[in-house]
Amino acid sequence: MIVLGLVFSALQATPSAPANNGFPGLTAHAAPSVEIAWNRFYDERELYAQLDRMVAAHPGLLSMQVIGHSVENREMRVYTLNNPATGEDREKPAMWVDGNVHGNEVQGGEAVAYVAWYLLENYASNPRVRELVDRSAFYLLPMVNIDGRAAWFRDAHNAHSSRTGRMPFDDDGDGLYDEDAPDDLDGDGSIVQMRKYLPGQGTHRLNPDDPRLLEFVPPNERGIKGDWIVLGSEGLDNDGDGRINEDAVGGYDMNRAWPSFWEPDWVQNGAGPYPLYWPETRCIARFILEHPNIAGVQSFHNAGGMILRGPGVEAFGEYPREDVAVYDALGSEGEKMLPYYRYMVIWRDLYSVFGGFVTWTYEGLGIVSFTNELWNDAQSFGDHPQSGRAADHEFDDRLLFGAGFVDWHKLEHPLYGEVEVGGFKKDVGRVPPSFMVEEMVHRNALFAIRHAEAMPEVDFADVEVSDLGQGLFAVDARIENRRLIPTRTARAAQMKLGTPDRISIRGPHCEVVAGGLRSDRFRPEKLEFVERRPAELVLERGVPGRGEVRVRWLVRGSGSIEIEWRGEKARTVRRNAALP
Amino acid sequence: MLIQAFAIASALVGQDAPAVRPPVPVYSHAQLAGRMREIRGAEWLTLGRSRSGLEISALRFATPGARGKPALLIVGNVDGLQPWSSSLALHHAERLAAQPDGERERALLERADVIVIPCANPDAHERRFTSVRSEREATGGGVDDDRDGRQGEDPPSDVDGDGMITWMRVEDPAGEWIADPADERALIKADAKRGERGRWKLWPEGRDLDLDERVAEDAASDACVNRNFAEEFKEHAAESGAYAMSEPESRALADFVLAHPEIALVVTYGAYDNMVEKPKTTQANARNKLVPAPGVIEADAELLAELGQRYRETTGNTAKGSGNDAGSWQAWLYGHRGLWSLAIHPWDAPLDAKRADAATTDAGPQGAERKPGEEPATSSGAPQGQPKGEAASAKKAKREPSDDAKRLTWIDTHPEEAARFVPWHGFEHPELGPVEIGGFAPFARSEPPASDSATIAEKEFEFLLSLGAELARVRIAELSAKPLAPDLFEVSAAIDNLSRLPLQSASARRTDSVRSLRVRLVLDDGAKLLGGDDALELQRSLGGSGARAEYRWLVRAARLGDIGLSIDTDHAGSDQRRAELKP
Ligand SMILES: [Zn+2]
Repeated sequence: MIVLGLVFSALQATPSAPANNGFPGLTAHAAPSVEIAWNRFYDERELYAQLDRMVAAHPGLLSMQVIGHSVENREMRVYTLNNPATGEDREKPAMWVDGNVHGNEVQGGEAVAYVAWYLLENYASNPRVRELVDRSAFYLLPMVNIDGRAAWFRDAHNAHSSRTGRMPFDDDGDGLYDEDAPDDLDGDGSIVQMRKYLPGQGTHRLNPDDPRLLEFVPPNERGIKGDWIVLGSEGLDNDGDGRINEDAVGGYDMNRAWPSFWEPDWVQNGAGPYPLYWPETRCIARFILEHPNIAGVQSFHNAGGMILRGPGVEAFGEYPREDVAVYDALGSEGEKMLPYYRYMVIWRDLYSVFGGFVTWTYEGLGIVSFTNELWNDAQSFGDHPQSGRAADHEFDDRLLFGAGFVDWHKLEHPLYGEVEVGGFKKDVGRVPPSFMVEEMVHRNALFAIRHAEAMPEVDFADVEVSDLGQGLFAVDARIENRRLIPTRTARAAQMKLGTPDRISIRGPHCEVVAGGLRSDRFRPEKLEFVERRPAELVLERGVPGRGEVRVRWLVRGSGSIEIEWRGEKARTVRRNAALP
Repeated sequence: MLIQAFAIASALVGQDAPAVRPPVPVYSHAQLAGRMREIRGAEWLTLGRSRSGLEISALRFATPGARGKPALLIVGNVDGLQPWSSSLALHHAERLAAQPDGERERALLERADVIVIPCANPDAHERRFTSVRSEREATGGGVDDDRDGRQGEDPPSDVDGDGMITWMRVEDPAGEWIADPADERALIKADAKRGERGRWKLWPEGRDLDLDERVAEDAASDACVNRNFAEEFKEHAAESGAYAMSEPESRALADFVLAHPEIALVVTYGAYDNMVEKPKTTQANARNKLVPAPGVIEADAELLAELGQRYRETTGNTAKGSGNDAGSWQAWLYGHRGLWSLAIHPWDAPLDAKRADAATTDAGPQGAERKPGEEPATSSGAPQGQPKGEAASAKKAKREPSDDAKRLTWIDTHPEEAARFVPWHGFEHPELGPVEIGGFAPFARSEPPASDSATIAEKEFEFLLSLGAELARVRIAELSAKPLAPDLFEVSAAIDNLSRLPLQSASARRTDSVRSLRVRLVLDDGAKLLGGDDALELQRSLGGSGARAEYRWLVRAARLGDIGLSIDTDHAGSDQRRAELKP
C-alpha cells in the first residue's frame, strides 16, 4: 500500500496523472489511493493511523508535526496539506480545521481527516481541487480533546459524557479529585439510566404501548400516582458523601478556554482558571498565533445540525456589517450543502458562550470562523421529521433492529436496592448510525473546503504608466481579490489586528514623489495621497472580497519598476513595468 | 555608578527608627538572588523564568503547623518599575530570618507560613541596572504600534548619552505643553480657556528612526506583565499582551497561586495601593448582560478599609498608587481567586515640601518623610498636566502648582536628591533639530531617600507582622454528645473563627475559588449516623470576629469515644476532637 502510494505521489505533481484516481462516486472505476471506511468512527490511535496512511501515500502533499501534548501525554498533531512545488505553506492563505474539542463529539475528528482525504484523492483528477490545493494550505488538527476521545471510546460512557479533558478537577469542593464518577454497574460498557419500581409512590409510569418509555405523572388531586421513580445515571456514592456521581473525571470545557471575551468559571462554567490553561488549548493557540497566514477557520462539533458563527455573547454587540455579509454568504451556501443544518448566531440562536474557539479566531484574530454541529437526528426520518424518545426508539427499532438501546434489566444497587437500568448507548443521539456517517463527514468537509476556496486571492488587474509631462509619471495599479473573503476583515481593520497589507513601488531609477489610494475610477485627481513614505502604501482595510483597490503613484525617473502587494492572508504578488 | 546615585546619597540614617538600621538600597536581580541565598531557615522555591530567562524565585518560611496552615505571600515589583519594592520584600525576608524567635516574628510564623517573592518581574526590574536606565515597563511581545507594517522599528533610546531615557520637549506651534508658572521646569497642558497656547510637543527620549515624524512610537516590546492578568484584561490594548497570562512571568505567578491553595492573603508592594485609599467598590451580583462588574465587593472593601486604617496608623504612608489596576496581578488575586489582596505603594516623592523662602518652615531633612500625595502617582517621569479638579474651577482662579512642581520643590529643598531631576538641556536631535532633553530621572519617584529607607521598611515590616493574627483560623469550639436513649446521642458541634477576616472573602464566595470548610463526622467501630446533618458538610462561609457554624447529628454508638469530628480547610487551619458528654 505504501509503495503504491509513493509511486502515485511521484505522479501527482503532474496534472496529467491517471484519471481513475478520482473520488469514488464521481468517476467510474475510481480507486482511492488510500481506502478508508467512512462509515465508522475510529479511536484516537486508529484515526491518527488513517492520517498517517495518507501521509505515506502522499508525502509530497501531506506532512505531520507534533505541536504539543495533551494532559495524558498524547501527541497533539497538526497535519499540513500543502504543495511545496507552489510555495511554502506560510506564504499561502491557510485554512485551519479542527474537531472533537469536546471528547464525546467524536465525528469532528473523522470530518477533519476527510478534508485531507478528499483533497488528496482528487488532487490529480479534479482541476478545481488542484487549483485550491496549489494556492493554499490546510492545517488539520483532528482531535483537540484527544484524551476525552480516547476515554469515550475506551470506557463506559453515554452520548454526553467525556466532553471534558482529563486534568483532575475537584467539582464538589471536598478536597478530593474525580472521586465519584458514574459507574458501569452491569459492566456492559454503557452508562445508562436507573429507575426503580415503587408501586403507588412514584412520579412516572410506563408507557402502555412501549414500556421502555417512562411518562411523567403530574401531581394531581385524583390520587393518581406513578409506579416508578427515576434515579439518574448509573452510579454509586463512591466517596460516601451522600451524593452520587458528583465528581467525575475532569469537569471543564476546552471550548470556554479561548482568550476573547473570556470569563472565569463562575461566569462561564468550565472556563478554568485563566484562558488557555490546558496544554491542548495552549499549543493550538501558539500554532495559530505563529501562522498569521491562517485565513479561514472551521471547527467541528456535534450535534444539532448548525452552522454557527459568533458573537458568543450579547454583550459583544454585532460584527461589522461587511464581515456579516461574508458570513451570511458562506452560511447560506452551507445551508444548501448541509440539509437539516441551520446557519445561526451562537448567543442569539443557541446559548451564550464566553471564550469560545471560533469567537477567539474571529474577534481576537480577525479570521472568518465557523463551528458546525454535526448531525441532526431530524435527518433520521427525512421529510417526515419526528422527535423525542419515541421517535428515537422508532428509528432504532426499524433501522438498527434495536441495537442502539440497552433494554431495561434488573440489578441490585447498594443504596436503592433492586433497580432497573437501561437506555440508549453512547453512540445514539449525538452521532449518526454508520450508514449515515459518510454523508455527514462529506458534506461538512466540503463546507470547510468551500470556505477555503473563499480565502483571499490577490492579483494585479492592470498596471498603467502615463506621462504627466515635465518628467513626472503616474503609475496606476489596480489590485483585485477575486475571492469572497477580504484580505483584511473589517474586524481586523477596526481592531488593528495583525499586519496591514502593503503595496509598494520601487525601481533603480525611480523616485516616488507621492502616492495613495484612488477613490474614483474616472477622476485620477481623487487621490488620497499619504503624508509620508509614499513608496509603500499601507492598507489597513486590505483588499475587499470580490473587489479591488486602486492606487496611484506620482514618480520621476526612468527604467524598470516593480510593484508589489504583500499581506498576511494571501500570496504576495509582483508586477513589473517600465517608465518610458 | 549612577545606579546608587540617590540610594546612598545621605549618610543620615533615620534617627527616629526604633533601632539604627542600615539603609535599604535597590538591588539588581542578581544581588537580590545573592542575598536570598544567604538567608537561612527558608526553603528556596523556583516559580519559573522571565522571558529573558531570569529566575523568578521565592523563599518560604515554614514552621510545623496543623493541616491547612495558611500562608501569607509577599510580592515585590510585579510592576517592574518599582525596584525598591523588591528591596522591601527582601528586607522582610531578612528580618524574619534574622530574628525568627522574636516574639512578634514567632507569632506570625506560628499562624502562617510566609512566602516572599522579592522580584516578580525581573526583566523590567533590570532596566534599573542596565547601562541605560529607563522606565519602560513592557517586556513582552510587541505589536506594530504605528501600523506601518513594521514592528519595533522606532523604540525609545538614550539620545543624549547620559545613561537615562527621559523626555524631549520640542518647540512646536502644534504643541500642547507649556511651562508651569509655579516652576518653569514642570510642564502642564496649555489651557485654551485661559487663552494659553501650547509651546512644546513632548516625546519620550528617542530617535525617529522610521522618519514618520513620530518619535519613539514603536518599541520592540509592548506587553506588560502587570497588565497581563485575566481580571479585567484589556483585550487588544498593546500593553496587555496577546492574551491574558501570555507572559511567562504572569503565568508563573498565577500557576504558583493555583498550586498553593494555602495562600490566604497577599501583600503586593508596587505601583498600586488599596491601603491608603479605599478601592472602587461594587455589589456582589452587579452584572451587565452576564458580565460581572469590576471592583471590590462592598463587604470586602469594609474589611480592607479596616486593615488600611491600621496600615496608615502603623506606617504613616500616604502614597497613593496609580489608579487603574485592570489586568493586574493584585486585581486578579482578589477578583478571580477570591484572595485578600493588599496593594501597597510604599513611597512617592512628597508633594508638600515648602521652600525656605515660603512663609512656613523649611521641610528640612525630615521633610523626606512620607507626606500626603494629592493624586495617584504615575510611574513615569512624564508631566501630568492639570492638577485634578482644576479644569472644573478653571475660570480665573489662581492656578495651583502642578504635582510635578511640588515634587521639584521637594527635590530643591533636599540638595542631596538633585539627581532625581535632569534639568532641561538643549540638544541637536538628528531628526528633530534643536530639542531640550530632561525631566524626572528614571525611578526618581519610586525610590525613597537612603536616609528614610530603613525607617519605611521597618514600619512596613511592623504592619506585616500584625497581619498573621487577622487570618481566618477555624477551630472546633464544641463537640458534645447528649444521651437520648441507650447508645443514642444527640451530637452538637460548633465551629468558630475568632479572627477578623472571614473564612472566605465575598469574592471567594462569588467565584467559588477557595475551597470550603470540610466538616466530617468521624464514626468508629460500628457507630452509625441516624439523622441530622450529613456526615460531610461543606461550609462555604464563616464570618470573622467570632462567627460560628453549628451542626447536629443523631448517632447510635456503643461508646462516646467512637464519635469524633474533623474539620479541614486549605487555608485556615484544621482541627479534630472527640465528643464529650454534655453536662
Ligand atoms: Zn461541542
